[in-house]
Amino acid sequence: MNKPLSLFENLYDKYADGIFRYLFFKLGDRERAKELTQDVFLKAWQSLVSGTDIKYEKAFLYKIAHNLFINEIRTNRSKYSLEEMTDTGYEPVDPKTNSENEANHNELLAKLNQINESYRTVLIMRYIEDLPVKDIAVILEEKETNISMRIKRGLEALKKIYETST
Amino acid sequence: MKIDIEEKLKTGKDLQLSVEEKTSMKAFLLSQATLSLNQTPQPSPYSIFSTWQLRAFSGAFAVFVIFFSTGYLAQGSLPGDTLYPVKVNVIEEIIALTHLEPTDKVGFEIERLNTRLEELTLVSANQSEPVDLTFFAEQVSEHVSEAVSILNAVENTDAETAENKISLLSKLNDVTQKHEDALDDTDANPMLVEKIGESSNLTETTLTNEVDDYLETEGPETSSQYLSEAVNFITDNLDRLETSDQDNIEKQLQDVNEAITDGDMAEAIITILEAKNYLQIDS
Repeated sequence: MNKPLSLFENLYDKYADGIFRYLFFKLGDRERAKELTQDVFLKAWQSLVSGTDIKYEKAFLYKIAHNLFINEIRTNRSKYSLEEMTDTGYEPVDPKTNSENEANHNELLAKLNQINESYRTVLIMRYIEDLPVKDIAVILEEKETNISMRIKRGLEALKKIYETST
Repeated sequence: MKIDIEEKLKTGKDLQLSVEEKTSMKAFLLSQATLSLNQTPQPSPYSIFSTWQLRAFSGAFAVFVIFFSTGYLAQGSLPGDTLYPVKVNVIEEIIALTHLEPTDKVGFEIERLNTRLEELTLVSANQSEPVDLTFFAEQVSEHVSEAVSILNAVENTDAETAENKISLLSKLNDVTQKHEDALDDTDANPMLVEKIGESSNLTETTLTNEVDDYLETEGPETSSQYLSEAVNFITDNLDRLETSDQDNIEKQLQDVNEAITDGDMAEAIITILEAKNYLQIDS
């Protein structure tokens, strides 16, 4: 098999679920998260064939995903504004869930949506995607100390939201 | 009930694409990838230009060359030179448009103030006859008020935003203080001294007010944490400095400790930010 193609296939098998999960928890829209996941891998393929030196594939893919997310928010600002979502009776995913897992995801998504965007990003990367602080710092192009501080504050903010809802 | 927030977050790990979704997406991606590998580049239909196109290109190229050569010459100009207003009002304003976020905009205004400071030093060192610094003084004043108004417009939505604001204000204050110090060493005209003095007062007052607001809003726990992280950052990087600079920073750290002992957290934060600026400039 062609070398870049087999490398690309391996990347997809290994990271498709993670990239989709990251985008889903950032956007709260399963269908759009799927479309953007596809775009992430198309962009990754373009980089592969153009000979880009990919040192660390995981951080490379999450960086593309993060950039596409920012682009998505910029172009559809009103759709993803929390105020707008609340005003229009926004439900993050189908409320008629029939499994415990889905209910957990819905609850987590709803709570994550209530915290600051920058906290949400680092918490998803750290605890849902298991990315080390060092990699998150590379993806977001920030200092590790800033990321650690943001994780700590994000956890506190999320905890407050869980506490007030129980 | 104690909530394990990390465990709550980890429940998100179960989410994944269904087998059908994953298979169909993979098939689509592999078909696209295979297609792009088999594509041969098409020759461009625009490879031969008509005469009028060539003329238009030549004209545009000439304008481009004139514009950039003027810009290049203006870049090295100093207050009093003919091209100095082109540098400040045209080139720098164009560059300013590329900075979109408030923090970037303020960062750029601080950079401009540092450039003005270097120009002032060069003019003071090289001038053989008096230079009219009215335009220069107005520019310094404008950079400062622009940066302050951008920062005032940023809402303190969380501790991090407030901390970024006070850090930028501290840098702004630092550079205006340096302008004041530079004027002490020259026979500057009174108008320039007055304008720089006003700018320096503005940054100092805004910084003090912003730190007071931060302490009131975030409370003692967050501000102590911020302070201790700043102290750790400084002590971790201290060995990169020359001994004389280390002494200066250690003196500032003592001042911070004294301020904390006196219960003056605002003073402690302002001093630690000064030390951080000193360290970053020197490094």
